[in-house]
Amino acid sequence: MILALIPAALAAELALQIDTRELVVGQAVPVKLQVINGSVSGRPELPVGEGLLSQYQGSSQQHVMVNFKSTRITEYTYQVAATQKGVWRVGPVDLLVSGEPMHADAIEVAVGDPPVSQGTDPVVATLSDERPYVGQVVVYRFQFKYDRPLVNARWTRPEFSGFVEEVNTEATQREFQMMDGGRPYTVQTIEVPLVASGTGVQTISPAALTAQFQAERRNKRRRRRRSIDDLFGDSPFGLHGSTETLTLATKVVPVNIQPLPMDEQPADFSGLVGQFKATMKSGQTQVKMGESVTLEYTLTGDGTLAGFGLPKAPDGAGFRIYDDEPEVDTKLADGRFRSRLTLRRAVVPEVVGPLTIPSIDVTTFSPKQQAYVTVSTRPVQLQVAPGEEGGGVVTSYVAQDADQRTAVESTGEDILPVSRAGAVGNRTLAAAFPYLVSGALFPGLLWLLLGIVGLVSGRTIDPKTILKARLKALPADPAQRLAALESLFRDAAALRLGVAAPSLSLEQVEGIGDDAAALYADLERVRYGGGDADELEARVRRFVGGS
Amino acid sequence: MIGFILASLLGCGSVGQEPFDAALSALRTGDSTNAASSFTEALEQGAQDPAVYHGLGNSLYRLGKTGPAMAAWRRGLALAPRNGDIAANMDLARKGLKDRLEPPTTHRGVFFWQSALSPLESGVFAAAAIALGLWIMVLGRVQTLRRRGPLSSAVRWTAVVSGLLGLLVALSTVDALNQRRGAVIVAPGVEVRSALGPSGVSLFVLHEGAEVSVSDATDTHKLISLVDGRKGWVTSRALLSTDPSAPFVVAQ
Repeated sequence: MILALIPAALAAELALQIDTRELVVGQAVPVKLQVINGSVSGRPELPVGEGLLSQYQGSSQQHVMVNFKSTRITEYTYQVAATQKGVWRVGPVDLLVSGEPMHADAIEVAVGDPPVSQGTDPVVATLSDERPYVGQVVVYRFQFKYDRPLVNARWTRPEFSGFVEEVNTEATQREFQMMDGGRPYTVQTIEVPLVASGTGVQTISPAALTAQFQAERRNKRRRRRRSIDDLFGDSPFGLHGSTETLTLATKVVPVNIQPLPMDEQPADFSGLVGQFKATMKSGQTQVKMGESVTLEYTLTGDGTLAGFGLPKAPDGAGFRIYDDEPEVDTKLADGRFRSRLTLRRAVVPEVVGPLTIPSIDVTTFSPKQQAYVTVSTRPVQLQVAPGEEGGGVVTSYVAQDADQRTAVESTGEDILPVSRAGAVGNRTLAAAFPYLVSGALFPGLLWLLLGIVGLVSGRTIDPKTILKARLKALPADPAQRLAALESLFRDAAALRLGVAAPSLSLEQVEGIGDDAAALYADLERVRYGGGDADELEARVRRFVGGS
Repeated sequence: MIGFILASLLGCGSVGQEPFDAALSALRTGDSTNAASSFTEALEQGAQDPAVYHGLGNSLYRLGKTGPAMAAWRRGLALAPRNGDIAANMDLARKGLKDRLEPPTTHRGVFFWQSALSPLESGVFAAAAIALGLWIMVLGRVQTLRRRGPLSSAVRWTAVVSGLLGLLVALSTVDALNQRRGAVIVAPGVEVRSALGPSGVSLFVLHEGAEVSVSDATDTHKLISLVDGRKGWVTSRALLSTDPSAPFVVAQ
């Protein structure tokens, strides 16, 4: 079993890889031809189309282990440079791999216009049309050219005075590896689609770029400076730090936005500005009565479709129409704005026989022709055959599982009756006020009465409780603590004997007991510096607690 | 404490039950005129009860007297703020009124609990809280007399908090009663004038059912104000108070 799986696990493969399929004239990209788990003899050739040039760079090998399975990859690298605009093919490649003929499919590459020549300027800003009409989409392009290792770059958007950004499309960023006189350099572009909204002469403010380059080494200073250094100048920190930061700005871009000619504007002008074309096609040419056929309407162009609504579907001409929600797709490709609207509409014939779905006409303004142009589709011809029994009635099975219930409709409104039939009475505060006041005041009066009773009877809080409370709050200072302990002892002893504390004598204390007399004597002694105060406190606590 | 609250409610004992039951029977048979007079009789006997005002409002509404009906329902709602049936009736009646007005507020915003409590309920709560604080003080006094130690700190704080809470609720109750200055227009239409007498200019016209607030009064006229700040004088005959303790007199 394992032996049977080994050939499958080690089956050879041939693959062609390219980083990007969109190039510009002058751009070069690496193309890799991978031979997996196999070997070829000699150096394989990479066929390319007329507008491309291929140059062999070298090969490398690697082994990878995945799930205990070893894979050997031999990679042949070519540099493919674009020389002409158009769509060209890279490959296909047919090779004998380990004796077996293998095939790698060709890859189609679109080659577009190169970045505008910016000479020695490190950053430039351009507009695809500097005399657009109101509503026309133009593409603002920011270009940054450099030939040093770039660490980081951050650009600040300019103010697009007289324009609003196209709502459905985001700005795109691209990077090109270019060659100039045998020297490689990089161009980064940022493209923003804009819709002209103001009229007259407008100015797009400079766009700023903050770029961090890897700093040159000191000894490089003695070399002849390269063109990019001449442009940027040396940073004062460049010789000491590891990066060099430069801030660059483009020039302002003036633009003159022209208003649409109002005199010749048709009443049914759709608001679309640009070059558009439209198609309408049907999936079928024959349909039975009672069934529907789907038409697909497509409008493509280079103008914005924001806010555009199709003309109302013609109705009542032997058919009924039900429109889906239109799909709008926009993108920036090769520096140009592209938009596409797709609408699917269901047509339900109402008559038997040949049926013509009329064309859809959309009046647009073409900046290229500087005139209003009607973009029309071809009418669609359908042959409607008699349907089954009950034909002509459109039956929908789509919503059979849906909830068929509807909300309960109110037929009238009326006041609500009295729901309580129990006892009634006076529910005002005034009625209950005497009871409430007396209820609240009664404990207050009782509290006052008890206070008077206590005052009259002279009964206060139990002196023992007070003594215990004092025992809990002894001062921290040793001398004061000792004095408090002595005072507590005298008060407790006087309480037991029923005499006044100040006149208490040793003879009287002896009447309580020997322990009390000894405590009395020890307190006297400690006061004059003899004995253990801690042990004495414990005895006083016991005496007071026992009293 | 429960016993105390029940004792406090003794003042709300059953009165006007007979005319109330008669009014309900008349209302069920569709005799709104007799129902209204029976409900009014129950009120005269002292049955200031939300059910009575509810029924009175319903019978007056059936008789086409939207203004007095609104006043009766407003009184019922003052006695039972959580009664959704009365509130729903008022909402329905408001749809048919000519003046689209916000009803006047019945209490200050700081005493928000008054929107859910009737004066009787908040009065009982206040009295109970004050009584609880005082009873704890009595307990402390008894402890002293029995030569026991003082009450624990938590119990003493309970007495203080309870007493203060009771005083606060009592204060809010008094304030809510003082704020009870609402009235409803019962005349089909009445001019609101800038001053008393012929020198006053007609400022705006209010129609039956409009809810206003009374700011000042003379023997014959009342100074009313709307929620939007407009003020003016109207004759007292065109107004019916929404205070449940005021006499409910409907002009025939």
